[in-house]
Amino acid sequence: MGYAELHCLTNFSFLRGASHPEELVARAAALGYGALAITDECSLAGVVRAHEAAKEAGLKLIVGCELHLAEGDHLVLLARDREGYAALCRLVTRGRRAAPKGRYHLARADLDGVFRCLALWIPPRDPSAAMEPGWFAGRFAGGGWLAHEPARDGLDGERLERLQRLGRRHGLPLVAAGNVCMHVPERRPLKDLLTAIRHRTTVERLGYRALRNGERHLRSLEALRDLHPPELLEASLEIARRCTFSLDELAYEYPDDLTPAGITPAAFLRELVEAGKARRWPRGCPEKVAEQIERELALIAELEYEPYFLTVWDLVRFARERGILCQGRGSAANSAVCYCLGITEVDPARMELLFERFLSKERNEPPDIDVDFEHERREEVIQYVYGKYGRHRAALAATVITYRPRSALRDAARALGFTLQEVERLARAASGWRSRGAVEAQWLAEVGFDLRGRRMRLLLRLANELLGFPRHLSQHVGGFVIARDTLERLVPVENAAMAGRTVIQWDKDDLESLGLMKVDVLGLGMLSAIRRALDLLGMKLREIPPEDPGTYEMIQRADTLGVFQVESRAQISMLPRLKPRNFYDLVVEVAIVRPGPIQGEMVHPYLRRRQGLEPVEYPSEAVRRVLERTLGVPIFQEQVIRLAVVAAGFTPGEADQLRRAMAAWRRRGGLEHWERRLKAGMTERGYSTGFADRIFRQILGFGEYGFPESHAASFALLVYVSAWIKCHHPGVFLTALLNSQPMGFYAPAQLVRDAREHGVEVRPVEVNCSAWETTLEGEAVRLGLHLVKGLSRKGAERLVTARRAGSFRTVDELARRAGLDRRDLEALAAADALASLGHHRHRARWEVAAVVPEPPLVAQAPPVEVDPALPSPGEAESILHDYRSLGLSLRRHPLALLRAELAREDFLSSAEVARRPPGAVVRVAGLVLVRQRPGKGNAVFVTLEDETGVLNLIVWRSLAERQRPVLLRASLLGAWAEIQRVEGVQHLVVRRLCDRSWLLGELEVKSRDFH
Amino acid sequence: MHWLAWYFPRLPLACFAVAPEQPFAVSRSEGGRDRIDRCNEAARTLGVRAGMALAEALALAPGLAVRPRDRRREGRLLEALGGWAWRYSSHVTFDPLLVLLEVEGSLRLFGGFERLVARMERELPEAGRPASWAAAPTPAAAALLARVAPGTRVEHREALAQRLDAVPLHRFTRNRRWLELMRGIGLATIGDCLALPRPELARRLGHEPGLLLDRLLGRLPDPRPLWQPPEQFRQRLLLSCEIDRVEALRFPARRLVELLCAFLRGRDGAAQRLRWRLFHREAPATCFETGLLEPTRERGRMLELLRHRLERLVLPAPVVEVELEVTQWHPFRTEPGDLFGAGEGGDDLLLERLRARLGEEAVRGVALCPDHRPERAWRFCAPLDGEGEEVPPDPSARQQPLWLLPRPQPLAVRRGRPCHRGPLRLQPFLQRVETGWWEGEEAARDYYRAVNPAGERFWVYRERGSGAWFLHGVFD
Repeated sequence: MGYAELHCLTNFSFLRGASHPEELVARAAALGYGALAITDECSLAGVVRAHEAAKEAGLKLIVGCELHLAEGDHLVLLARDREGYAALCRLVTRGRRAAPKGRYHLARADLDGVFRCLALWIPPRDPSAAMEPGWFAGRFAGGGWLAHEPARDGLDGERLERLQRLGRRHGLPLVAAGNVCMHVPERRPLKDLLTAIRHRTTVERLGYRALRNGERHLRSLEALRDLHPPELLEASLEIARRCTFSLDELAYEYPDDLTPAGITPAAFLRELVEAGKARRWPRGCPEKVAEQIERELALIAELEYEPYFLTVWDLVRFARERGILCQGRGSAANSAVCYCLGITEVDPARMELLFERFLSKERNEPPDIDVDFEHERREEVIQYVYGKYGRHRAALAATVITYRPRSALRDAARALGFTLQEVERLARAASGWRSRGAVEAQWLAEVGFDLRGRRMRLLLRLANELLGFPRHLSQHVGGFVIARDTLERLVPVENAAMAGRTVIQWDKDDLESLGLMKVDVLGLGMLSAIRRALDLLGMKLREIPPEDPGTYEMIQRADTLGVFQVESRAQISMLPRLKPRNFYDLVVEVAIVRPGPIQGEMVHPYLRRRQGLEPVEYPSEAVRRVLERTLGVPIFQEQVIRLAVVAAGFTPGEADQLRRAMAAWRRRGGLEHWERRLKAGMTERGYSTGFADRIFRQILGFGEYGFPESHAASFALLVYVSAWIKCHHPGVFLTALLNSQPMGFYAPAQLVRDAREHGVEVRPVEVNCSAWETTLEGEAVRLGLHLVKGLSRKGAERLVTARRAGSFRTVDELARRAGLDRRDLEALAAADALASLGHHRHRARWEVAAVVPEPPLVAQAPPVEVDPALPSPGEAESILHDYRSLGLSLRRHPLALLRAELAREDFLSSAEVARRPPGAVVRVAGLVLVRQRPGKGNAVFVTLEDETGVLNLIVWRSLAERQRPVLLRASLLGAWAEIQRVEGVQHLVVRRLCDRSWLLGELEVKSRDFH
Repeated sequence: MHWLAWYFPRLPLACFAVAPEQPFAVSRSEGGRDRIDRCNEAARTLGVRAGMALAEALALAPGLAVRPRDRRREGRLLEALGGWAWRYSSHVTFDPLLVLLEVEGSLRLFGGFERLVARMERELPEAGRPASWAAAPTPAAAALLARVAPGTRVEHREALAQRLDAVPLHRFTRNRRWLELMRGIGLATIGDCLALPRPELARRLGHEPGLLLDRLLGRLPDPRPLWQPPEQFRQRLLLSCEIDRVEALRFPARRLVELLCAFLRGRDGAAQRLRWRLFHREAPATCFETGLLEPTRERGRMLELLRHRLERLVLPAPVVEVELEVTQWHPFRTEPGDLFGAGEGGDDLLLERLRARLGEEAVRGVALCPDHRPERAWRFCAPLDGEGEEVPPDPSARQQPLWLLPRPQPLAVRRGRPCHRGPLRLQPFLQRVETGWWEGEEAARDYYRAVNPAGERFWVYRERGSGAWFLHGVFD
């Protein structure tokens, strides 16, 4: 006698289910179940994962959901077929849209439109309670069952008897079900913990809300036979047989809005591509490219992906019309077709593109193009999508927010009854760089917990079990799903936290595994900055001269603060070694300074070969063709895939599966199978084991971090453009960056400092000169009112408008003409922006304080005031106020004032450090700009700034752990460190840290930490 | 007018009973972040300082106990100290953390200023220590000086301005606009402020600053409400860490008794029945009374009696808070009142009598607890405790006998069958209980109904781990 479990919650019934969908599926398959229904509460968020797992395990999966209706009914609905599934999606959408995020509301009447679903009526737990399945019997006649869910709570006999009576009276058959919330009984503690978290209480106070026993798991068939009459088990199989729906049936239909009437999408796409071709190559397209276009179009046509390319083209077209800068990237983006469509600017004639990555017949997956837009204007594009397709057709993909070490420790500890302080300390133990991986006992010992107690053992175990459990659905940053008719037939849509936003219940992995199309509408700050700079220069992107030697010289000097991508510390230390000489070098630079290549030990071989210190060798001609452009070292994801094809005999489709496995192995492991195949394939083709080992290591290193070449190329273009602007128009560059904040690595203070070092004159904020944005005054940069903390935008705009009628001469006049309230005036005074009115900061503050909020009805002369004697501000105080009000100062660097004091403690300035020989051990101190912990986390990198420059510190892990509080909290950090200098790149390896923040007094310095 | 101000800087800490060796601090929330407000000596030696971020302090001193500042409690404690001050002046008033008393009239009575201060210092209850004082012709000045210049005495109004000239303004006021303006114009002290032209200042900040300054210097009257001590004494002390040993309760109890005695001295009264309540995190409060043969206000006797009572006390759970209440007090040195006097409810009266006859421990109440383990689904409690609270019983309880054995009794097994006065016949498997993992000793049992040859019906279970049988209850 078999069985199908028809009532089973996963952990996508947030804080209710205590097992992952994959675990439940695997367990049900192992127990020999005939089928498993996933019935999360008013949600289908977990079904795709379950579906994937079920396909792998060969188990039949039924899609359903559990519902609690407003009238008190408790049911489970199961989709019979595609129509039933659509009905379910509509129902869930309706329930979710009618309630705030995370909740739902459904009443009996809402079920009127539900057809082609089977239903289970779940009785209340107390068999002597009132039971009224009359409505249910009427509504689901012929497709409704009473669920018999034995609980071993002493009431099973009574329950079965009662249900049988009810069934006879209402003509409803009974079916066996399990009310399952965990795959094995050992999850009972975790389930109790989740219940406690959900009720915001402790496990000890759960009372009857705790599980009575571990019965709500997937029982063995033997146990099931003990608990259910055989005909009830048979009924479960009967229901399973009647539910024939599989998620594989979801055939996605692309929107067809974009093709004009009377023409096929293919013809329309060709028309657009031809037009683009003519525009891109006015004097005729190179033959090689023309061939490639044909190949691409043929493949697109075969896979019927035209609507996808048209959809992306339409977004880009919209952005262009609005003057929004954008650029595509992703596997399908850097194709000749996309270049012709204007989706990318990377000329295919200059790049070798990998056809297999563009699209593949074997991969049953949709093409993937991400489009970056100016970050401040992305919302316009999003609203365009909603407007064009309607909310019933377009929605954002979800991001499943899961438990991380910090949140898991915090919630588990609360539920276990730890005090608030203990919870605080525990959360701190997992702060900073410990945001991934398992919770380690060591962390807890560090914050003073004794690990021997039972409580701590439970905490460690349960927090680790909780890791990775979903907590809620959030919206993906910009992944849109667009349906041809309506999304509701495909996937439920629910409210997002942000008003007016809706998200579907699936994330991008779910979409990918079902082959649904998604367009990523992303925001990129650098695009905003570049667009602003181009506007200031009156240029177009394509007018930037290519391959400008001056720009490359600047990049080689690593003089790249503010430049896209290559401003990071790792990049800055690589540039003088790599010395990029042309665009392709930039593509390599962008791709090579990534955790993947660094861990795959690709960086040093590449550098040595580039510098001619090591011969470039290829084990075969085939390998040479793949690796020649990167000197025999695989740097791009495509190359690894290509290698698997040419050296190990993979088919392109298999190689792409390998890529996907690479992306996932850090999370799930499971590369062993590929390792065997890869190495065997290479040995077979006569490659040495040494070569095979190296290639495999490099594959591992890539993991999820490797960059595809196409992607790197799109980014490299932005690197080049932003570097060119910085090189030739540093004032424009600064203006554009300041107006696009927040973005990039460095705060306005550093950007301004860097620009001034490059000879840019930067003028202070001033009510009679500044606009809202930072502006150019000839070559000089005038800081804008937007930098003034506490100044309202409206007030600033009124000020600028009023100024057109003439400069302001007094505070009263300023207040009156610009209609500024006292808060705005105070903000301006604090920013020292009233200097042209003849007031130093103190005097200005005193003056604005006297402004009456309401202008007097009758114009009257302001009363004659007695002027108090006010001290004029000193330098230190001025710097302090500058930082507080503007976040930067045009006066001296704060450390210049502290230099004498620092010198007494033998702290050297960065300029002095530069004069010391490598190997010397020195004391340094500076404001912390950035803290980073790249890659595996063997070290924390800290960037310090003083009045003479920046210093790069390396804090090895053991020291970082030992001096964690100082490292994480000091804003003026001192270090005792050894100088290391390699090829002009200097690092300080720290031996000991100290906190000197108190020297700063009230100065507030913000650092950028662990991004 | 001569105002004496007493400032109790550690009062926010004193609301919590903390052993001196325990590093302890109170925190306040500032701009969304928790900061250390004040800490004790033990914490200070570990480097904890006022103003530090809570996270930072915990990093320095992982064993630091922290409580958020509780201003309501501080107010109550301050009022208890008012009871102490009441003896020396009938004009007592409060500022946060300060007791102010007008002493001009009391000076002669207590033999001059120095003697008065010395005496007050001597009689100051522990909860108020350490304290600093200052005296000045205005209450505001006395209060300010007690904080910034302890031990100062300014006798004449004319000398005030000069004495207060260099005091930073932020010690005097928390008016943000005022402070921000002063900072914005580069000025900092009360003297700076006094030097500013008054109409111009008023134009910028309204009249409040001027008013406050004038009151401070006695240029304007500063009317203060007259405080009347409460008729009843009730004080609570929150423990910084949970106490599970009865002896450890003596320290907080002593503090409370001291406050009570100060209260009684202020009212010239004496108390006969002290009602104690020990609050637990997980269990209902433990309540008891210590009754004296005759009213007293002697600390030693009260504590002695409490010590005896505590010796017999068994704590059901660690104590987190202690309360002492005296609802009735008597004029000092009068005849003892009637113990069983009228005015109390019938149940209470009956209880008192039963307890008097049978002993306090012999009278107990029963309450339901929501727990799947039958033996934990109920408990003894203080009589009438939790009266009116409803814990809905679990439907599974219907299958259970009313009578449970005090503890499950192991059953012998013969020929594979558990026996109790003969081999037991088991009825079908009833229920499984698996719970309590969080307590370490997890229950994992399968319960059955069973009948022995004599027809007696039992409730037995088999431990899922060991397979051993136990008798847990008897059906009547």
